[in-house]
Amino acid sequence: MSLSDEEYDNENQGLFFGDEEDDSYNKDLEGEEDNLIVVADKEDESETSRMFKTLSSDDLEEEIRREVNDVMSVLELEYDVASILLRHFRWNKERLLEDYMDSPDKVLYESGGGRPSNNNFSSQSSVSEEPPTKKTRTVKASRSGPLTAIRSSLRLNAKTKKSKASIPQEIVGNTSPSTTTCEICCDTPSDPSSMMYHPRCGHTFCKSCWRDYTRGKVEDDRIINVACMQESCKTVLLENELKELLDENIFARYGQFIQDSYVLHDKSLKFCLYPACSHALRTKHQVNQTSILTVVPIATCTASTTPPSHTFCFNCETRGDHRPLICALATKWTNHVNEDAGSVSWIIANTKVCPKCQKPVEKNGGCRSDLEIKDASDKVSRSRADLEKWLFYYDRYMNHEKSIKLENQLVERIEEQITSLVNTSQMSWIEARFLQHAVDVLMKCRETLKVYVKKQHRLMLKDVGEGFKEGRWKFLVSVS
Amino acid sequence: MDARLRRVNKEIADCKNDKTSNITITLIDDSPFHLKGTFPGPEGTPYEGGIYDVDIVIPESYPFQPVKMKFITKVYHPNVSSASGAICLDILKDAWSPVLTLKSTLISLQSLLCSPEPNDPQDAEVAKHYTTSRSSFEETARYWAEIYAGAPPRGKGTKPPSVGKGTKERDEIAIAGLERAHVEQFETLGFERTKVIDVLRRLNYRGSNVPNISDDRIVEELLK
Ligand SMILES: [Zn+2]
Ligand SMILES: [Zn+2]
Ligand SMILES: [Zn+2]
Ligand SMILES: [Zn+2]
Ligand SMILES: [Zn+2]
Repeated sequence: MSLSDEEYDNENQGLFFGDEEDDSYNKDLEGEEDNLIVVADKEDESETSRMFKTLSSDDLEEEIRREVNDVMSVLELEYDVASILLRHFRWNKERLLEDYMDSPDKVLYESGGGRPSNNNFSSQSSVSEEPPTKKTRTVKASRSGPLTAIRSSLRLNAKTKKSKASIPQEIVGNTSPSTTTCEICCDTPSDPSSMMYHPRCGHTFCKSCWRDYTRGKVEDDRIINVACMQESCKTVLLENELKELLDENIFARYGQFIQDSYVLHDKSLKFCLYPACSHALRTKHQVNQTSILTVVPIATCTASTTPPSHTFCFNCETRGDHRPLICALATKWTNHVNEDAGSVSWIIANTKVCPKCQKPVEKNGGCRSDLEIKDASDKVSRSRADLEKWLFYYDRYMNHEKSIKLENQLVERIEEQITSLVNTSQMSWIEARFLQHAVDVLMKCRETLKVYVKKQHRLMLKDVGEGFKEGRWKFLVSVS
Repeated sequence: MDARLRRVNKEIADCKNDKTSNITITLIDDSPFHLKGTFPGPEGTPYEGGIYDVDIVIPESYPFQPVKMKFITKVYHPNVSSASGAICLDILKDAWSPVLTLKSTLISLQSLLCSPEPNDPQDAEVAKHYTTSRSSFEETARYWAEIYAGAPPRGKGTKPPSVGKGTKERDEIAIAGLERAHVEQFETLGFERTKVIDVLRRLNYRGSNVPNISDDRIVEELLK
């Protein structure tokens, strides 16, 4: 027998999740219980992969590059400038295009993406439009002279030139090398490694200051549009300027921060919740207030091919698959577990049942007169009873969770066993995979049971009829 | 030598050598990173003639992070906390640039005294006072300058009304920027003076704002 992988899968699907099987399973349970157990939809896998797309770090970078290229070609800007503009507008392309059409100079000036001449926008047209540094009450350092001359010549230039904002490679005559003392560290650099440096706006300081400054902005403040050090100069450093100034590993993190910002500002994007996974997921679900009451957008990041699978809820960010609970209930459960864990263990650790009257008392207190306890004991015994119920559910839940962890290890071992089976026996690789499928099914059942426990607990809290509750209780005891 | 120390030393030296700016920087303790800046209140303002002390802390990553400054001398100004001396000024936050110096920052503080920004207040009560009744605000600011910053007393007209009892009580009312008659009006109803001052200040019972606040409202607050 030689089936292709696909055919084999289909066969197995039929075996375990086929219509007949599925239905009878449901019927069995319906007889016993009600429709509360929702067995995972059989179209689950394909549904998930249809609604979610896993993006690697490279995919994200590619996507960002496409966005920047878009802006670049529409607005006829240089790539780096378009990139600064997009970042400034928090990746909102529509707003950027709209605002740019309205007033390109203003957008270029305010975002810091403009050429140095655009800095003139502040002194030139702001008088009527808006005071650019309305709150900066600093005494202007006397640095007119050559800069002003260059600016006005550039302004003339800009007015006559067609609008293709470009980055001048060198600003003529600006960097007079006579200024060898850095204004910031008051040092005159002697070794060539820390010579003077200026970004395209021409503000010159020693390279070591530029390095310290950019490292602080990127590493500590996580700023992705790093402005020039000169007071009220809005010019944002270009990526290649930063590359020259930052250490390699910090520049790599800078790229990561850009991706972070991109994902953060796109509602349909989210980073995989699993630690050390750098993939992001894009959803096609249109999640809103109403839909979230019926739809549970469970996402599985395809970056992980071995257990644990990177499955989480795209909406409430609960790890694992919390269906059939909707997000609101799933979050409640999580909070319940987190909040109660502390007080539950306190009560367990600090109260005991009095050997004489069977009422719970504080452990260090010992039994005082019955009169004294009577008042409190009613409340305490009731809460202890409640607690026991809650603990019952909590234990079941934790056991399932523990089992899942153990089964994850099992999966690894199965993997080894399959390999050895294939190596030692006549069995083909495909045939040996039945073991793996068996474990998969076991895990699925476990997940469902885990969620089922949560649902049970919710129901108990909802004050359903005693008998109903008791029946369910017994059922649960027998199942687990 | 460490770059931060070199820079601070140079800044202190520059300030010493500069005789024109009236700004001084002195050590508070042995550390060159905890300093005191001093400047005169600007002319033509209620702060004229006063001397203002500013606490200066140089952070580890100075000058790449802004210097920390707050007023030691009490100042009545919308952008300065009347209680703590904390200052709301953009260059002490995001608009900081490493090329700014202690001296230029102190000069900025001096010019902040000239031009308050009530729309971005540090002290909301003072800002309310400033926007609702400028002359009453200036009177209080002047009064604070006289008693806290050592400004010489001006002519009678600008002085707060000094009728009646002990000077200490008169101070309280004036410092709060309130009218003596207003305070006494509610005092006669049997409320404590300090309570009345507190409530009237909170409701900004000053100048043109007075007709907007009913007596019932004030009594209601006093009874709380
Ligand atoms: Zn330097
Ligand atoms: Zn610059
Ligand atoms: Zn993942
Ligand atoms: Zn959810
Ligand atoms: Zn007992």
